[in-house]
Amino acid sequence: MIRIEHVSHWFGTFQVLHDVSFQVPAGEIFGFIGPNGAGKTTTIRMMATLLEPHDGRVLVDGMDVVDAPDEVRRVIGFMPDSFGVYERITVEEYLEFFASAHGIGPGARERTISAVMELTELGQIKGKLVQTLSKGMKQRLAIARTLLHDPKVLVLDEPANGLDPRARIEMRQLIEELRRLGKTILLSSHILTELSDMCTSVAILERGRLVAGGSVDSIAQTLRPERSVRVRVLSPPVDVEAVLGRGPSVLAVEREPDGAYRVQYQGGDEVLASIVEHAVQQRLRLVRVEPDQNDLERIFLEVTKGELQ
Amino acid sequence: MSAPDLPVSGEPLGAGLASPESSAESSAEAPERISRSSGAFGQAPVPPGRPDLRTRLRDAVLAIVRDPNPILLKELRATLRTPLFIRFLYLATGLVAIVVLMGSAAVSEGDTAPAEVGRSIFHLFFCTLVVVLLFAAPSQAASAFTLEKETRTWESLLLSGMSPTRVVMGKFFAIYGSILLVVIAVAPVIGVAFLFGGVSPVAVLVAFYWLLGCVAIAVSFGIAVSVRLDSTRASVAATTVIFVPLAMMWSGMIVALGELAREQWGTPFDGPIWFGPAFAERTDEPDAWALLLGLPAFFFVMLTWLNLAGAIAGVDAPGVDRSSGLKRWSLFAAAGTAATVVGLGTMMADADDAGAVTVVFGMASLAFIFSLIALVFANEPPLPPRLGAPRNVLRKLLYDTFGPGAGPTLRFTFLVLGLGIGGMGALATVVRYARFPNSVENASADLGTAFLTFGGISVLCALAATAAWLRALLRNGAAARLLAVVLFTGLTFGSMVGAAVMNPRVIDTLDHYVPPLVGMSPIGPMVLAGRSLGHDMPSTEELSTGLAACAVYAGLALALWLAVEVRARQVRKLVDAHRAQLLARLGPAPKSAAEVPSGDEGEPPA
Repeated sequence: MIRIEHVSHWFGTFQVLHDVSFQVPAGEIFGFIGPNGAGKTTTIRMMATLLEPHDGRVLVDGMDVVDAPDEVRRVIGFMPDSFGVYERITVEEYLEFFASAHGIGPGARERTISAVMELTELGQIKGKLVQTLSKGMKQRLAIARTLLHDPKVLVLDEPANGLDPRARIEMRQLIEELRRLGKTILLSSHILTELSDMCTSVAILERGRLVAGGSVDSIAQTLRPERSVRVRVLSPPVDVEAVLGRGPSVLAVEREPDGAYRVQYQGGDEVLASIVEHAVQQRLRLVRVEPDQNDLERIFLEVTKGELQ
Repeated sequence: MSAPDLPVSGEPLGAGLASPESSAESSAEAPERISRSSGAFGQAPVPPGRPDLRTRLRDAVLAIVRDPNPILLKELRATLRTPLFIRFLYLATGLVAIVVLMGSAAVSEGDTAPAEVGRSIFHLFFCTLVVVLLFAAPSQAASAFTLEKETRTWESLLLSGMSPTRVVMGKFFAIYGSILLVVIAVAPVIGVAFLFGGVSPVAVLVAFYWLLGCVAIAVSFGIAVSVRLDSTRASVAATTVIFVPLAMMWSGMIVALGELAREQWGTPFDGPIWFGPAFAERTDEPDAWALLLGLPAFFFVMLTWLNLAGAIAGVDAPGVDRSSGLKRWSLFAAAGTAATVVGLGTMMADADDAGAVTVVFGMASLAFIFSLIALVFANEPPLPPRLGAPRNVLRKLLYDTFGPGAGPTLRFTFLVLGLGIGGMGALATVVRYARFPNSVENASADLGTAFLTFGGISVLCALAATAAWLRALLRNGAAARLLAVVLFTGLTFGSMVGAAVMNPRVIDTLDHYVPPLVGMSPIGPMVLAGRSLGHDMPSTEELSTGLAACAVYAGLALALWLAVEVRARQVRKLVDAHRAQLLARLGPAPKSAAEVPSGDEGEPPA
């Protein structure tokens, strides 16, 4: 749905993007990750037709953002990282304004706004002035605005930035709901745990270069074949370390100070399932099996060097 | 990919969420839905082929009535909910009322006739209102776009699908509307003047007409500045610093014209707002309608249009045609200016005066309007935009010859200057001969008009070509304009200083003899035009100098035009080579990325 092909860009003499290529398949939630100043926003602004690449090509739904910016704008909904809203109009007036701006006729407008407000749960506050809304509600309103023209692609730059925990969870639920509606979503965020829950694929950018791209599992496998999980067992009756150590493909088991066991193994989710099955057969009463470290965080730390440009 | 119980993108979400009533409503709007590429949420319509002018005009009128400009509605709502605006409304009304009441109390003391008091109140009211509005209107307009940039709403506005014209016009009418509210709130105060008499309702209406015309210029100027800057403070400061002195000059000129009107028409000149009472006394005369209503209307429309066209060009993306709007303005400005100069000539009683008016007002039009036309396109990039070329053969020919891009735009500038200045000179001559066929003064008027016409065309074409050539070299329109103006001004003053060094009394004797150094300067042909209207005809040497100056500037214009065309071809070759390289490296774009399968295929390696 989105193809970034050998894109380079300069601000004056400073090169911000170096031959960046990746692709966002249709219907996915795609995580776009990188430290501050990595070139994420520059790339995103190119997708949104706000910036032209100096070299390479950016295609959205098969259309070049340089050759067909109007057509691209019709299929893309963009929420920038720090956005503003018009403060002295109501939620409904705000959505009416953008619906009208998108050329949705007066008859269809009311229906469209109702549908969008229902989806984003803004219906109950439609008469409130935007300036009285919380930050989370303003984020919702901004997403609602991007949905008015029914874009196939949503590009959300730091959508959960500055939100409280409840608003973050609600935002995540909304994004997953949008994915179920068939939208392709490119999500840029610093909160890797949230991205790992939602995203099927990621691209990691550092100093204007793509350092990793693809599905989270495939990158994790490529980077380091061995993985580890933390296992908690209820009132361990036997030598748990020995039992777990006999599991398939298990490399090492060690007890941690909080009573959990860290199991290191080689392989993917199939192997993990076999280890759990083995533990249950050995009558271990498992209460929790959790990743030792978030995969996405691990990938991020492995592939980036923490350098700023 | 999508949940089976929910509609996917491309299917109407309404089908999943809407009630039976809304289904019935949607079927009633079936034609509207047909025009949408997908029904979900109400997809933005895909524009069909360009309809004819009549259909476009009808659609535009219907759209205004049924669905007003969204920015206009949004801005008016926001403005009326802003406490500061309401306070300003009270403050402006109170201030004008207090000034008028105190002024009327001061004037009415002693033996002053009631009619005199009424007239004083009339002038006091409008002067106070002009001062308040000419400060407030551009300042308010100066934040129109900078606030959008500062509050980070600008990008969503750009991506909203609205055309730059719609955005700018929405802002303009919203701010103009809010200023109109202030005028309506303050207007009843003028009723005090009617209590004393001496002021006719026609005079009041004409004064409001001028006031609202000036406000339109002020608002559009603020908007034009606001588009170019990112900070509200800078924008308000720049607008005030530039506009207020210009407004004071403009006011001074209007007052000076009042003295002229008193001499010519014998109308009263008892204050700066003389045009209201003057028109009220001459409502039966066509010249009063032309000069006090028609001519101001032309200036109000021309200057407002210029500012708004500049603002629209500023909102447009760099890759699109940004000069066509200004080209339409330049056609209007050139035609209107030529018609004004010719029209003023027809009001004169003999051939000598008609020739003098053509030359004097023609020079003013060259200095203010035609030189603006010569410089307004100096920021045109070498190549036309990638998008927007018409498919119709005739339109394509016109687009390629006079459309966007440095070469075609320079050709267009030459055409407008040639037709505008040439038409002005030719028409003024024809009308003069039609009115005074046997006048002996036609010869000197002909010579003056000829120098004005050919000199004006050649010098201003050279100015336009110099600016375009500098733009091609420097890639900066503002610097190109500035350098071109500095160069031509320097040549003018240099020639004058050189001539003065050779003969200290040269300036005093210019109406008897124009030395070659002055004659060859950029204003040389115009000086010779004025000299031709003198008592003795120019000598052969002066005529030769004038002809040589015209030839030199025309030659310069042609040479620089060729240089600009060559430069544009070089840039075209570079750009084409770069695009060919890119295509060879990346291959043609796939028809639809939706065909790309989901998964790892095609992704770059980790």
